[in-house]
Amino acid sequence: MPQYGFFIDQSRCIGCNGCVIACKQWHDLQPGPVKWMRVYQWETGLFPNTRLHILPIMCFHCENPICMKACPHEAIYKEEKYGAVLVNVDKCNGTRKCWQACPYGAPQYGGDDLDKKMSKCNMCIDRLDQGLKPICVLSCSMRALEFGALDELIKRYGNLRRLEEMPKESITKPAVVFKPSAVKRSVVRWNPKRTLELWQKRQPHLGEPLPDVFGELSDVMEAPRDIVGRNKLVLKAKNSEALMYYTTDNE
Amino acid sequence: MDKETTFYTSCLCNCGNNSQCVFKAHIRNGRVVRVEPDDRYNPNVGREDEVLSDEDLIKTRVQRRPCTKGLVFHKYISRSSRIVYPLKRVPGSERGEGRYARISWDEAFTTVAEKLKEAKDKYGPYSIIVPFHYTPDSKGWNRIFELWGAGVDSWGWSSYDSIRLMAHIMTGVPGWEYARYVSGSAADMLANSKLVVLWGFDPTMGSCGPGHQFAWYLKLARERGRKIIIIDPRYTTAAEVLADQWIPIKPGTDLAMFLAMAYVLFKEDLWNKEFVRKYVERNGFKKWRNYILGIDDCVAKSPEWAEKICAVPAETIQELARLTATMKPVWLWCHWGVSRKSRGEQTAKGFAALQAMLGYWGAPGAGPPLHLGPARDIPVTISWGPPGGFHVPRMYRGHYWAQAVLLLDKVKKGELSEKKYMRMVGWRADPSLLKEFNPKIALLNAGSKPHGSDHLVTVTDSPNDQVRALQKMEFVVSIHSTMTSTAQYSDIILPVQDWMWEEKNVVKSVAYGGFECINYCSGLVKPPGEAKPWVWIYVKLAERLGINPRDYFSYYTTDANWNRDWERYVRDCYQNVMECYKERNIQVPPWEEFIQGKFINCDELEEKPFTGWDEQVKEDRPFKTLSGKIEFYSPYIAEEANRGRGEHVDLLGRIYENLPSDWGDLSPMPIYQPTVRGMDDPSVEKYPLMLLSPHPRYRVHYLFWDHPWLRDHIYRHRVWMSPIDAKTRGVRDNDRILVYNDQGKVVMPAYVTSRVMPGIIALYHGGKYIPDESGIDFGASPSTLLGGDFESCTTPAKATTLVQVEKFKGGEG
Repeated sequence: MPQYGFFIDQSRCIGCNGCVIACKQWHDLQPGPVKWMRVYQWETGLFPNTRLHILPIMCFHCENPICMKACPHEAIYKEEKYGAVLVNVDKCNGTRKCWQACPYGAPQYGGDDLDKKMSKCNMCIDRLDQGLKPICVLSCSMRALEFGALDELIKRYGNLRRLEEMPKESITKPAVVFKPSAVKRSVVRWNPKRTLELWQKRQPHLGEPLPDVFGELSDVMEAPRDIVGRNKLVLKAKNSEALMYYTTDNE
Repeated sequence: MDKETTFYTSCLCNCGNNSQCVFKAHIRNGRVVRVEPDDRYNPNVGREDEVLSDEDLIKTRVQRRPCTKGLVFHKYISRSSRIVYPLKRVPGSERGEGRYARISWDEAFTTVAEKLKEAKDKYGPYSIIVPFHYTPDSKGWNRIFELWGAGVDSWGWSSYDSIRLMAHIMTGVPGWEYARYVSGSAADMLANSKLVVLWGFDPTMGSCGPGHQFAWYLKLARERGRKIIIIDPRYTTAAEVLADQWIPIKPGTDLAMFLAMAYVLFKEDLWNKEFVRKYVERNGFKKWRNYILGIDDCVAKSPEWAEKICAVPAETIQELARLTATMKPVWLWCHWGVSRKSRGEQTAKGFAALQAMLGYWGAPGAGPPLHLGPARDIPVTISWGPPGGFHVPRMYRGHYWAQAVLLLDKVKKGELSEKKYMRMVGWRADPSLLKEFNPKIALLNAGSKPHGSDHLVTVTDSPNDQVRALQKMEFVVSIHSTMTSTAQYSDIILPVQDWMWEEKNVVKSVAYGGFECINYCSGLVKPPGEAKPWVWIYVKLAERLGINPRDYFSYYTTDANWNRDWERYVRDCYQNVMECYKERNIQVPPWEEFIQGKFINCDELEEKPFTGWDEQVKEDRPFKTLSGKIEFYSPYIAEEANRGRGEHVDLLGRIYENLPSDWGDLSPMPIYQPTVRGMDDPSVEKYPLMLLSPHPRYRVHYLFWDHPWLRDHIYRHRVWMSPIDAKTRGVRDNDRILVYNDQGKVVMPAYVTSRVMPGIIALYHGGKYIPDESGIDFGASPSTLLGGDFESCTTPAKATTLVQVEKFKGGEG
């Protein structure tokens, strides 16, 4: 069976949500928690080692779609031309077994009530039939996404099938290839501890000292981690509110 | 049902890069049902750069992919806050209550015209004011005033006043014209630079290239091995994605760093002597050199001096200075936010002086000395007829308009001297006119960007002060498409049609960063209700005031012919463009193809990417200053007798648009003075946190605040706060916090993040002013906390201030 899939270049993604919005308006999805395409942002490390992590994901149309096997109503099927994993809404009764099975949080519901039917990324199958690539891929300002036959994507971009804190690819064999975010390189000498010492002190005003900016250097470099809200990747949010929390930008 | 058809159109959301982004819109029954991004180059390609040659990239033969704002602009047309009929405030209701009744256009025009005539007769020609409005050409209310013989306008342009003033002072070229000379194209950076250093610049947020195109070009440069350094008090998205190295700097102290870099260049003999000898005025250069070396004041502006101010360690400044002089050319870019602080004009000038010392003015791959937005001299809007005979005074700085109204009473009562008043409000007109200034009628949201503004959250004076000033007015008119915070204080509101989807226009991108093109907006969407074209509204207002409507807009014939008249104008605009290119023997698409989406890619038609100033620098054509060179030291500002003259003019008789009558403590050359309400201001005792209000990614000022597809859907309006500042105050992520100072109070949840340095909070610009009865703004617009800075010259502390934060214990608000 042919298998098409996505290439996601995390090193280019700026978390602008262009793909999310292009997708939603193309498929006429209303504002709210149904996000076929999602952009997660979380941060790790304290000054000076802070890193911002950004991850755009859609349904990976897995070669081993365990959501399909989990569905007691046979509402999910694997389409044969592109290998897209699709849902037959008429058969879905909203029991969310697929959601429990999918390690990526791809199945979407319009709220937390159990009567909501599942919907998810359909690989823009309407567009594929017209010879057009998925709308997310063509909307990315950073040109971070590509779409094509999975084996060709692997040939071109390598075989990295998961990033960082994502689940192991062996579970579902996702039709996706990644490039991880770029490594930082030092260009000029810069001493973070010295920076903090300088940052702490204010210039005196007319000879009179002004209060320090903060108390101890160690408070900045060793602050408790849980003060920062989004400090890890949470692909499967426990409810709609949590999903919005993990997938909204702060810019 | 009609068949679905497609057409190309470009985005006009006023984000700074008007008309750069392009859509293929799908339309059915006169309604946009969905859009696709531009596909006029490289259709159906995701990773565009993989199929492009270097030349394609340099000529910007790339798609103009829009950002989220553009992708759902079509959903915004039918927003619930859209104004679709002329409205009058319900009699008996208060301004600000927002209670309105529908009226006819005839009643609306009659009421407005009668009030204006009455005020002119009763209070004189200087009783009708446009609070904040600046367009360099004669359009909108300003044109009516010229033809009618009454009215007062403001001066100042929030985006980059300080840079425009310094451009004029250093080069003798007025700001708007200067924009034609500056460099700043991403293509030039990609093609020619060896290292990239960006101060306060995050192109992943917008305003530089279509969507995030500039960011894409920077990323391509990095992937090709170019090193990128970002200097910013926040670990921005750009710092994560685009930069090899992030170096934090205390906000408002960038000039100290530039001066110390100049010090290293002097001390280590790394400056470009040939360039300075040829292009920099000698006497001023010497004065500046003496200042930097500390010859006059015994304070060397060394890296050791600067590090205590800006918190960038001395060795880092030193290494960076050496690199910028030896790795030629280095793309240096000092973005607007850096100079949008008090005394920002000196920051802008100091950077430009550093660029001159490096010989980087006009050098390919070196970045702009003073960044505005390069725009080739191809006018897409043409004259509506000769200007009228009345000289419309630009009396006060727009950012201080409320103070200009409120403080006037104190002048009249003798509690405030005229001289001090003029200094405080940035008076720029003939001082003798102050006696006749008698503001009674305010005309809001005037001009060619009908949805472009909401004064309460866009300009400097705090909304609280602006509301007080509006309440003093006898009559307030808004021309707008949205029930904004400001519109709700109007007596009459005139509904304007959408500028992008509902009106035909030839539009040229404001090319902040290159990617310049000329597109067509086909206006195929039918406006709702009785919303009307903005020009038509002004034509009718002019007519009611007794002005011949053809004097106002020469294309006008009759109302019944409006669409045809407007099309004739739009066609002539394009004809003008064609003739500009014809003079250079360049073929551009004929009108019939242009309106079908065959656009003009201005970058493609040029031999090389925009580098700017090459005429002056390569052909030895002098600058337009007294010396004919770049002036680090301004003799005009140095001459005390010039102070207080009203309008100041340059050697060629052109007004210094951004120079108030009294320029306060503006120095003739870039010297470091602490930022008013910055990190070293004595009021940190009371308000220890410096507020930054950068431009947001998903709004344009107020615009899109009420767009359900954006806010609380893909982004949250939050207060950025460092873990240590949060911990000290018992605040955790997502807790609601109260942010306050003497200007006002706002409430919003915190985003606790190590991405912002201690002692700073950030709250994105614009939004909506939503005060409760006690005056707490639950929309949390940073404007509520800004204003009241009268110490700075041309750049008030309008994007920054000092605040305190505590956990909010109150209710919903």
